[in-house]
Amino acid sequence: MIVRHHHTNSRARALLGLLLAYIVVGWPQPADSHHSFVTRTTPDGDDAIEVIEGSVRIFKILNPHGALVIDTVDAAGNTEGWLLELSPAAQLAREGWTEDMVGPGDLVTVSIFPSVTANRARLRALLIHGKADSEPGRLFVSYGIRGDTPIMQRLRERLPVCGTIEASYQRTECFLIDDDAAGALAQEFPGPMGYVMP
Amino acid sequence: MKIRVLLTSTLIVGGLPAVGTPQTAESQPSFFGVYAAPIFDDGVPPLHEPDVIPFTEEGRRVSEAYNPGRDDPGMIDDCAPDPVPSVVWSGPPIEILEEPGRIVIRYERANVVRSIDLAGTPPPADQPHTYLGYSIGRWEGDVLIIETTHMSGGAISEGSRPLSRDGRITERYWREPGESDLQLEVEIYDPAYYTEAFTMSRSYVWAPDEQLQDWGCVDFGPKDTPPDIDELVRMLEEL
Repeated sequence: MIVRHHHTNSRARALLGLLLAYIVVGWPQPADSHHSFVTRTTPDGDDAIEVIEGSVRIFKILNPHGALVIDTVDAAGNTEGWLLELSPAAQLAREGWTEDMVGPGDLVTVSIFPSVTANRARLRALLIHGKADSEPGRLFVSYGIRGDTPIMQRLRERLPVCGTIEASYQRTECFLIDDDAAGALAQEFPGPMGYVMP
Repeated sequence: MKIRVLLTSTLIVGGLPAVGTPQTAESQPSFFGVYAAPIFDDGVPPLHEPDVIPFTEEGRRVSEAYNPGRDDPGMIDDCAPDPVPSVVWSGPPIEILEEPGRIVIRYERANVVRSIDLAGTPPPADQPHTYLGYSIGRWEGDVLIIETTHMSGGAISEGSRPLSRDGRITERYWREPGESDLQLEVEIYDPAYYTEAFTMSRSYVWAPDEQLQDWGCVDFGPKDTPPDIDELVRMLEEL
């Protein structure tokens, strides 16, 4: 287990203190998932899952994959950029994703399927932190969590939805996470983004 | 670092039925229009195949040697054309149109357009092998049957199901009585890699309210080296 430095502001630290440790983990996941690149696997041959945190540089809805580019900062203060890929543009648009839902400087925590090549990954869950105390975070869950999965069920049972996603596709959902919900989730599902882990 | 933007235009076919409008022709099923994938998760719609794939010795060798990072064009180039038959498993919507003497199948994925000859015209002797192959269609009752040869080979679907250049596929499209969704069964006949023909299948959901969107493709660069994030951001900002 590798522990990395948080890149966050005081507001996010307060919100996420119990939730996130910027830790890289391996987790079982079907290995035959489709990707536009070869993904890293665990010793058991499953797709590895990592959780990282950073600030957004740009978000674009494109084909064949949407792109979320974020900067992270390691313990030594070095900035590291990541390209995180999403579903095709038309599908994201149908589901209700828009390019203005997240913008440069926004603090995010993401759960990803990392590529065997560094700094490239497939996005599976995106937490956009609120910019103020009164603003809840928005959690988008998608790739690897879609449909009537146990993870989606647990989130639906505990969190209100944002109301911005077309749920009939059963692919993406957006949930609101305020401070109270964040604390409760951290206790029930410990670990970085434990609430979206298998 | 190679970053490429490929913008392609949507095919405009004059005089065709309106999107999503079922057409009824004598002795033909009225299934023309737009279909979407059923609910799916891991990047591809539910795909059914035999529990045991009947590999020949050579087919198994090729399958086991398959390295997606090296052998899957889509993993090398984000904008690589989607060949037949792998495009039939794609997730974005498709549109099936009727033209005099032919069927046109449009795939949102990569703006692929297949034109299926219904006159039974055999391929010319010098027919090249292409990523779409050479397709001939016919109706058997309410079932649309498409036979395709002269494909460029590669993979039948995502993963290690190889297809040789001499492979032949037969697609069967139909609707169950009283249902609007579309069923597809693909029979693969490829003696170089498989001891016997076998079938794979999927379904499409009737989606009359959908319209195919243009597939403007952006390649994020090679997959075997870390992305140049600054250059990538500059390129994305210009889009």
